[in-house]
Amino acid sequence: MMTQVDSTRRSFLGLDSPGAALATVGAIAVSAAAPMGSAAAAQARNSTDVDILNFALNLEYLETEYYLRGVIGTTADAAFRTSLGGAVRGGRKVAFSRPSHDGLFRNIAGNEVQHVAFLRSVNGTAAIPRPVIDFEAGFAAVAAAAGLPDFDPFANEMNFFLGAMLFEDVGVTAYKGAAKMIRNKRILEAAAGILASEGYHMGAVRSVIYKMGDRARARSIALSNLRDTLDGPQDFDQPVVKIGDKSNVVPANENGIAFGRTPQHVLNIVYGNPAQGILQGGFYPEGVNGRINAS
Amino acid sequence: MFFPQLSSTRRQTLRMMSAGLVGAGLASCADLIPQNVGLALLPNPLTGPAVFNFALNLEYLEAEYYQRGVYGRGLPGELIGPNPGAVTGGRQVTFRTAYVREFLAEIAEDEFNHVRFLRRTIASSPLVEINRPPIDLSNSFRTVGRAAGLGDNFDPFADEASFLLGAFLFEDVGVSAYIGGSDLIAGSPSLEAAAGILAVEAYHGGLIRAQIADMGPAMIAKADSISRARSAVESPNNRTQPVGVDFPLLKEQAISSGDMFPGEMVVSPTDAQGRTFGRPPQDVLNIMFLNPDPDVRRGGFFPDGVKGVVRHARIGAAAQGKA
Repeated sequence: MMTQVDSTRRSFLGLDSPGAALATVGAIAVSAAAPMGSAAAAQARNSTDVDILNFALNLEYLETEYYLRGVIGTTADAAFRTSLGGAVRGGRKVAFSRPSHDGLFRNIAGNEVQHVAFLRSVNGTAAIPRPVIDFEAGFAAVAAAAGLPDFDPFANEMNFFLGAMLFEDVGVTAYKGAAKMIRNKRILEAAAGILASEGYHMGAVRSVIYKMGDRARARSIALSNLRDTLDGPQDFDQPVVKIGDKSNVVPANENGIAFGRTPQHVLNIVYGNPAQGILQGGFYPEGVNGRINAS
Repeated sequence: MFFPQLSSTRRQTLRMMSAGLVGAGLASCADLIPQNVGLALLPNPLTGPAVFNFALNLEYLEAEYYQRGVYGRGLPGELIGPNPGAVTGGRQVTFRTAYVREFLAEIAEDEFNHVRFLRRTIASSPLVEINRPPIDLSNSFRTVGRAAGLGDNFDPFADEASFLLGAFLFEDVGVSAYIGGSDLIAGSPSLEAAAGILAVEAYHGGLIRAQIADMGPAMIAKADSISRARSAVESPNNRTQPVGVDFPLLKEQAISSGDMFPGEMVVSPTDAQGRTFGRPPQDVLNIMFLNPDPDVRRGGFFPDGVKGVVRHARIGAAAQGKA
């Protein structure tokens, strides 16, 4: 009854030996360290609600481009009929086997477009432009570091589900981690609504990964381990697996509470680099925009 | 298709995008936030424990639903308080699909853990009531079934598809309740835990909606009809609330109602800004009592009412300064 779905479970399952992955991550990381390791902490301390929403906007740009390219076969610039900022490299339309898979991703794509529009609107003239995004280099680095040499999320349906999981689980933890930093209650409630929307997405996506079976689940373990290797010593991550007679679709601790990540740990993951003070790399070859930009 | 007004909201977003008007078109919600800053910074009339006490009622309901459906038993004695109310109805479901049972067993464990966590968190606080309230899982669902056009004897424990429909009803409401409560506990140590529970309930909601979407048009139509019934018992008062939630049109979104991209299935119910709907406590209580009356104090899933300070719709409204 009380089999705990908590972070210690990872050790029990023997999932925490990604030493090889760590070495690879170190090798692929773009080393552009900030002058002082404490710069990131200072960024977190001094951030305003505008800074936090801009930080989130970087992630929403990434998700929007991922889904628009993979699901609809278009780009955010085409959808918004204007250039939103930096160049985006990679991504192409994926074929889905079931109407429900196509349908759920269309819903997610629409939501991400709305998130971008909303955050840009709230921050107004202070809203950051889209940073340069590189799916090709980003996913190539992930594939190497996770030990999944053929991992191209746009190559097939299963990989696209896994690529969605890679980004959006992180989005949920980013909003949860930022909740206590937000000062304005209206902004807080809006952020809670976006957090929930991303949680819905991941509940749907991860349930499909579970139903896809052993190969998809094994890949979710590799990706979860990679994220966990990048974001510091604490265990904030869980793969899609079966534990006893239960699924583990929802990443949650022994209290049924989802994990949160600081902006710095989020940046460790999207920059593909576990070091502090990193300013670019991975999916953001020129770094994210805004005042919160160092891991 | 069932909610032309909501669909048109979503269509509007796409149209504005196509016209390059997103920034201008959505400026109204940006305006809303600064305008409300003064009010939003007023001190809370409710404490974290009072809000968690309110949430505990919903978690009891969910936990009893899943424990009974998956295992054929209720919560253990140590988790229901010294003077617990009775639970009417509910029995073990015969699952035909292994992964559906595995999903529901996982959700059952999360909800069990939520009850345990909330009880432990608020146990020593003043003015909280941690006994399980009386819960009805039988007449309540028959009422929902009639309202949704699913016949006179809707029983969510009859088979796994029906059990998913009952889960669909609860999880969406749980998510919206935690969002609606988030501004009540801003700045409180409870906020981070509440955000983490919110996220878990949202994962559940997405999981359940994805299964329903995958089961085909007949199942989707049933879920959509439950969504409509759920919406029908909410008091339609948000439009006039000065500090109300800023998505005043509708708080419901059925699985088949999306239309931003053709073929869309709504696994994530949101407003036109992509935010999942929040419900203030009074709207949650109207749904739990299956009654839109602002004076209602009991009924539906809680035949004797709920426990804690926030226990009927008018108190819920007063707690948010909207009475």
